[in-house]
Amino acid sequence: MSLELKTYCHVKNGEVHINGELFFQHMDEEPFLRSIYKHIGLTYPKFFKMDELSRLGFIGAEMTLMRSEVENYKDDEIAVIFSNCSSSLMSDYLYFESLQSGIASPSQFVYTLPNIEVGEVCIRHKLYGENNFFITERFNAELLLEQCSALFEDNAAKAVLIAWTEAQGENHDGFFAFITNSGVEEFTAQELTDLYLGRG
Amino acid sequence: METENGFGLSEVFIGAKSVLCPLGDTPSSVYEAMLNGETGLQSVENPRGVKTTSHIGIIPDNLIAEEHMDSTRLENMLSLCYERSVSKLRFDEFQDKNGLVIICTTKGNIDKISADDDPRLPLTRLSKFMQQSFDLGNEPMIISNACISGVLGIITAARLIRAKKYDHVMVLGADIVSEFTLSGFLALHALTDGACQPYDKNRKGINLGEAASGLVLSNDETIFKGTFDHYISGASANDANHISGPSRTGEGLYRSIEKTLSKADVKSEQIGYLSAHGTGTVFNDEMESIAFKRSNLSGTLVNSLKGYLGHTLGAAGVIEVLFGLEAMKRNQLIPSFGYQEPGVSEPMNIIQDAISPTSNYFLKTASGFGGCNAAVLFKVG
Repeated sequence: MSLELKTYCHVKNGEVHINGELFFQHMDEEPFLRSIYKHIGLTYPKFFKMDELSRLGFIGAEMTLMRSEVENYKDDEIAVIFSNCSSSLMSDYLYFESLQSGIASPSQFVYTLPNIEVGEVCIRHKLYGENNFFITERFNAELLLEQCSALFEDNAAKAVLIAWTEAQGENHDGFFAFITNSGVEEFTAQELTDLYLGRG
Repeated sequence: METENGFGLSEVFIGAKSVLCPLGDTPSSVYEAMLNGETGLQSVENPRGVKTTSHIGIIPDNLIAEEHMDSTRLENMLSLCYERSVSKLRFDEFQDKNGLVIICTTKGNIDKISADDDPRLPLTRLSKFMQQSFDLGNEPMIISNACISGVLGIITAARLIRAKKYDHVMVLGADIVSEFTLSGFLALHALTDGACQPYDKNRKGINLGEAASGLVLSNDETIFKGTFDHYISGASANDANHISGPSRTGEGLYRSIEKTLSKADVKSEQIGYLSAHGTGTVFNDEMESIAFKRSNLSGTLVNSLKGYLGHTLGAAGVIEVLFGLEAMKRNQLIPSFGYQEPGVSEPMNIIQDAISPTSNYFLKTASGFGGCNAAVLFKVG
């Protein structure tokens, strides 16, 4: 049993790359993620209720899962393991501002947990599998692939959607990868880091 | 050192308990206080400046060092539990590369949120703080997955040990009661103005409590100075239904229980005690009763510890596993505080007297925002 990379996707600096190839470039006046939403022809009104972090996770998951033959898996065989550095900090500040203004916003409070993003992805794709959300200083390929191996070893998943998602205003750093356990040669953390950094 | 248990899974031992909560700072004193019917929750007017009256659980000042610029209240809670758990081991295993600390928290130092960027606010600070304070061999891992963070931390620890990534993992859960979380749950109409009453007909919502708690999982039982128990299996599952409301069918909770039991080939009838999530909200408790019915656990002895400790968020999974293990070891389960009259649609066998468990299998479950659910199974003794 070896880890295999099936698909990967960058959503960063106004561009989307899928498996290293340019897929979309942000040109219009719309915010970046809305612009991708339109480009891929989505109709999912809940998208507009999400905070920026969840929108990023949602969009990245959409484009990655679309190319990962997910129909080959049962609804509980795909784990969703996300990570970032800032947790839900941007929504924390938005909720805090609403609190300071005297009207604490319940809808903003809900987004003050980073794993809400994972929940949005699971709802969209009807994924009933394992979840986890890790807070790491920087993109941590070792940790994420270690989680994939540990899940496969425990027969807890057959594939894992891993991600790193940072969103601050119009600055996005999203990286998504679909990892399976059907590899012949082991896919390494160094290879994943290189792909994240665009050196792959 | 690797051995197999009777389930064909490699052995993972669990012990070295530490706790810090409104009812005290040792597992035995807090357990005894709960058995005596004491609660750590008190009615407070305008708690943390939030305009309401609610029961909350606050750690008494004499149990916790005063906070300083370089160590916050939450960090002091984590440090204290780390030290106490280590004191129950023969060596500090976490200064080496084969040991790992996992910190489970929903909001960390959220009391430091302000208009200015306070450097203590980001969660990553907790990891640096713990690594520097205790000269840890690896950077602590941080899990922030709503109210299942603690249970997920324990499952993650056991998986990493079974996958031979680490030999020993300490799981620390901690969260504080802050203006931020209190006002948020108030805005969601999830706070009750009185004491919470899990599974009761008159339940109206949650109480928040602060706590920190630690447990050590290891592939080597000789590291523990005192007693230890056995981690058997665990699983998480998403409801794929709603980000802030529990599934009406208890789908994710049901699935996480089924997976946990089937991995160990243990039947629901064999469970001697179930420590449930039991927050005291109308929807959560109702959802649990449905999931337990589907898992054939309606007759299993069950309680919620939220009436004693409040909802301790990221710490809840760790502290509730700790007291579940403690009660199993003492052969006296803790009555479910705040429960009087049945108030969920499916039957539940709620513990009302300090009776013995019906077997040595202990199941813990948790559910949280984001549609997440988790279950974990232990064998005690």
